[in-house]
Amino acid sequence: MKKTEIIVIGSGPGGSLSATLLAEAGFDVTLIEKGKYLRLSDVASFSSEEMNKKYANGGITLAFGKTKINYVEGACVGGGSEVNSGLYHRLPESILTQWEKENALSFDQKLIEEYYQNIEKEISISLLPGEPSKTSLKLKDGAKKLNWNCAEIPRWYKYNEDSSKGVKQSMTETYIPRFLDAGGTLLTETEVKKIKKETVDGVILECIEKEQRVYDIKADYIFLCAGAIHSPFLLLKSGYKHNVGKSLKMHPSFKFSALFDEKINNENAEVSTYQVKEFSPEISFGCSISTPSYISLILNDTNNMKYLSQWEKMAIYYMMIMPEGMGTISKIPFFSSPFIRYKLTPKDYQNIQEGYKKLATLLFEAGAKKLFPSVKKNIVIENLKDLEKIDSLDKSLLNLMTIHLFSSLKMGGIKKNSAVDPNGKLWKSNRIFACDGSVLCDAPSVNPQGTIMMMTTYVINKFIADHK
Amino acid sequence: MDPVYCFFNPLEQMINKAFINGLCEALTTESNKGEEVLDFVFLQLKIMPDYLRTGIVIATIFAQLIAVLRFFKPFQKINLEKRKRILKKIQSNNIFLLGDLLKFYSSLILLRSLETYPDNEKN
Repeated sequence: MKKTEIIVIGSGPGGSLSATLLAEAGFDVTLIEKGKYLRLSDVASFSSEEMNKKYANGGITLAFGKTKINYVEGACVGGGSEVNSGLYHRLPESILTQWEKENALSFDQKLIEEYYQNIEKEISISLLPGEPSKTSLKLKDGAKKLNWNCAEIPRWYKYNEDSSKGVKQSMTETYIPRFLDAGGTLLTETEVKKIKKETVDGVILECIEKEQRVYDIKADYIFLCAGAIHSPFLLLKSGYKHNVGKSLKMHPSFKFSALFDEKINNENAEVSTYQVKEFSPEISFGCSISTPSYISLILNDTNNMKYLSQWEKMAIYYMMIMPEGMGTISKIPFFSSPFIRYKLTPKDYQNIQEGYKKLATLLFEAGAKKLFPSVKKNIVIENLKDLEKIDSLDKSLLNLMTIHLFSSLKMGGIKKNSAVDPNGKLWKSNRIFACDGSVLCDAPSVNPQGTIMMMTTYVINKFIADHK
Repeated sequence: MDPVYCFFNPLEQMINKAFINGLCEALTTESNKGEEVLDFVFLQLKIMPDYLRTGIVIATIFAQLIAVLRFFKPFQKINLEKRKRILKKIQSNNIFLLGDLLKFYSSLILLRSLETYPDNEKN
């Protein structure tokens, strides 16, 4: 049987950072990733090929409920950092204070500041050097007319000095090479089927390679970093149940494809970097990836494909809520995929309604002529009164989606209410830790990668201090 | 390989190649989107969550059943308008989420078709 000191499962922002810090501290670390090792340049960004090669289940993943919510997760070396837009936020201070209060936690503010600064340096957090995209400018113009707070969000991007083209500082560009340089072992296209046994001197995992070869591997400690769906699902498959997968949170979002009079979009359009935070934390607005194929999906849902020929005058804008409701992850008999349920509360629906009304107001102020909502019905919004058509729809006809998932192994100081303790260790284990979006106490209301990386640094540095 | 996939796999092989062609035609203005689109949809079918894949196979069988019982021909052999009517009927009823699943299916085809043959739809 293979043996190692530490196994990190999953190589997204939490996993890559955990594995790197542990390997650089002198531990013998094996990083196991189910997906392939593809560099950023290997697959076109935001293409169907990327969906197939870099997303979990090819991007076809669904949370069931009164309104079904499409969610997507990265499933390759680097995880979500390889496929997302690279927008970076620190966790708002008010949210952190709330997490501490509600979950009996106490974070050292000085350490948090130090960790953020390190992360921001290592992944080159920076603002776009040139002009923002035209789609961003529309959002900015609309917000300005309404006197709403709209700001540029920095990204983990390294820009050339003489152009606004840059390289996203995803995990395969930053921590993975550092991890390998520190002597870490990376096993790709290898899936951990289950945690077989936890003994007094270690944990045994059952793994399966792409050639379907099954083998066991033993480690002193395990760090679960497979994301908010797969970390708890692995625990459930292995018999760990204490508060596992019962408190899933996400940022449900609703989209409009907006048609303007002038051209604002092109084949090489940059990711939009502006967000409206006037109604944050409950509601935020931004601009989504607006390739013709993504626009076509909204137009197809509303039977308005005839407008696709005008895609250069169109862009997709979203509104995202911080929900009150939550979801569960479970295993259903005879099936091997996790089954997700998500229940939105009346307040969540109220925020969604308020959110799309405000977003529509902003887009019309910015000069939009028509809005195509992401609903399963032929609806075109030409003025604010038309929004009643969405209000009157059955909730099952709304198309919600999210790329932000967290809190399924909530961290807390009280065992009864949480899955992992303030050190990131599973309450019901002495050797299993979690270091990814699943440990976040609640929805952060902003793009979560910065928060995940800060929490990971916090957990790993505590572990190193206790074990070295 | 999971037991459900083993059970439905032969059905997928038998039905889907022809069905996807028929669906492509019903969904887009072009007559055939070619092997690349077909291959992409198959790849996606293999990796999507197993319970959704099972649902999609059932949706396929359902569409075929309606076509055979009403028009005495497989789905892909009946004319375009009738195919569109069948899809619309399944989607509007949404029994056992079949409408949603067909929507997924059609979105995949649309996404890949547009990337493979961008000028067909954009202009």
